[in-house]
Amino acid sequence: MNDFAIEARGLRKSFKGHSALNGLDLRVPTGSIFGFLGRNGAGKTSTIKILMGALKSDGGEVSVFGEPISVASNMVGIRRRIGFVTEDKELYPYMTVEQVIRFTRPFFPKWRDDLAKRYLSRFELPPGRKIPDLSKGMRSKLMLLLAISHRAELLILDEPTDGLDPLAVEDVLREIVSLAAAEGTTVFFSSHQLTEVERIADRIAIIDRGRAIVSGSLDDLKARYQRLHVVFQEVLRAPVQWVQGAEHVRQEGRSISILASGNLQALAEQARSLPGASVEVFPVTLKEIFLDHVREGN
Amino acid sequence: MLFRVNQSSGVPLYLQLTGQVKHAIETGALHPGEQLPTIRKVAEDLVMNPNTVARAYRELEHEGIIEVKHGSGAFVSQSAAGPTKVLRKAQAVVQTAIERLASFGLTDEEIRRLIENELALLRTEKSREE
Amino acid sequence: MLVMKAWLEIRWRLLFTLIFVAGPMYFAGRSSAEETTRMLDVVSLTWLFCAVYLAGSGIRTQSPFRTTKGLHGSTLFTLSLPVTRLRLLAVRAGFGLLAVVAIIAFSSAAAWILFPLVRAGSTPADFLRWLLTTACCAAGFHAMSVLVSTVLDEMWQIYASFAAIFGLKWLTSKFPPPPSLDVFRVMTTGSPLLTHAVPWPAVSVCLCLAGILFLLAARVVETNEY
Repeated sequence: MNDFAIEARGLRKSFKGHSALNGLDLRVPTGSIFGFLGRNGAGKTSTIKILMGALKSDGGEVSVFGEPISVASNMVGIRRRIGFVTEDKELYPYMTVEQVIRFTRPFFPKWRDDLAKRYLSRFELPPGRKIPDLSKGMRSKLMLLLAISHRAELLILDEPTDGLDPLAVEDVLREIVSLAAAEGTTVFFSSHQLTEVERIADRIAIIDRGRAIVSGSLDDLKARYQRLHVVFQEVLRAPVQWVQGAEHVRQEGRSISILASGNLQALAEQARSLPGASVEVFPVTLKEIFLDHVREGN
Repeated sequence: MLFRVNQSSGVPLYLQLTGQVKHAIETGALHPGEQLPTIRKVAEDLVMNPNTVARAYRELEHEGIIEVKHGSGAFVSQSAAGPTKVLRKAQAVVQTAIERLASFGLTDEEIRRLIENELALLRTEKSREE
Repeated sequence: MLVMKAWLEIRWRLLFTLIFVAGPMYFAGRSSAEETTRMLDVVSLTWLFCAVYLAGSGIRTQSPFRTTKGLHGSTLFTLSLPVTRLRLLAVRAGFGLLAVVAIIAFSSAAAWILFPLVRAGSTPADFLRWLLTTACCAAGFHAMSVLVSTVLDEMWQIYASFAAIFGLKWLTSKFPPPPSLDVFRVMTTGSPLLTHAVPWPAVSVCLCLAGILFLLAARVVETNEY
């Protein structure tokens, strides 16, 4: 069993002169639920397409399950162990639910009919209904059903809850968590929904303009980052040289907001020592970590 | 569903969960010797990461509040009645402190913020020592 | 089950080609004896249309009733399956070719049975030679369409393939190649129905081309980015 389900080093990809991936590093530990965050156009979908073999990278190395994907003969074996949910959750428009299942089955030796049946009723998917007549939430569940039925070891999900109603979102998130808990399935998913990522991910990476600017365990990140809010009696004349740890400093009138990365005690002391300062410490949500890092890049 | 967590509160989820378990024992929702819901069930019910639940259970085991028996699951320790005494003492301390703060004219929100601030500073100090 | 997917993508097109072929056949069958060649003229063109229309790359999803512009999400699903791109292409191309040959066989058999004028002057052996010749020529054009479909979207594939066919037809009429190699002649005035012999040069050229074009399509599909 490999330590890492996915390992990417220095991944590069350009389209028509515009570079989508600029030396991306990624390490997804086996058994983790890994949230892959970034703005639109930051390179999330390109990364996923490279993992699936739909695109070839211009440079860098990628291994899935410890096997390099640059070796063509590995790819079929690798894909046999992966369950994939596409961003738009489109399946074949001319098939019914039952036909899609029948179509997918023979490709996977580990397929379990009993699981397919069980989840068909659990997700309340009508077997005879045509794919375009299903809601997006139901199509997501169908794609999850396929992954579950073939006992995927790794789930790669591109915006799994995008366009889903709140009930479907809960269902999908619960299924992801359930698979991780029961089967130790590794889950790699990209998402805009930071609150959802915060709930279920234990590791994250933030990608901006083709590189990973933040990555690591979510717990560690939230422990490391705190927000220091300093309010003065009057506007400060001279800019303050903050000690180490002040990552993003924003001044608005009489207040200064600092995203502190570690070294909180020293920063708080420094802030308190300034004339007429009142200091408050706030916990930081993933959204703030994300926005601060991504905005800073502009 | 025995437990509830608040995603938007600044308190780390695993700490919220340990607090919930202790509270459940304290109020009698969980008896000593009773089995806790499995990590999987808690993760599914609360839709949260199973490793976070596992971490909470590990902490509780470390504190002696629960016992994990390989293969059977997690059970409330027989000696779990202990923390309740501490909690009752703590409750008294908090009650007095809040009454005093309220007499200064502070609102609930201000009091809460003060306490969270101090906790945050304490937490970072603690993690620096570790 | 790739064959199942190919069938579901093709079946309405197959029905359409059946109807499309039946029309000219019916009217041709009612014509006089001298016009067997005219019938062959019309019918061979409709068969080439079938060869183009039934082609596909097996990668991009071909929806029977909706024209999918750009990359349909299901194409990514197809590519995510544990199957080589070559196999995706081969099954779809093979099935398409099977469908083309089936249409040709069915319609020529129908013509042979229903129209004495077609039968006049030829033997059952000639019928088989006719079938073989047409199938091999169609295979060549089908492979061309498969190659085009790896690069162009559905409708554009059909337009481009037809442009190619008419272009080729015009070229061969302007610069006539040796009669035994002229594919268009071989399907009409040089047809085994009339010559009582299989035009092996043209047939082998078509088969070779079919193979080469298919291999080219395979190469394109391997290097394509989706």
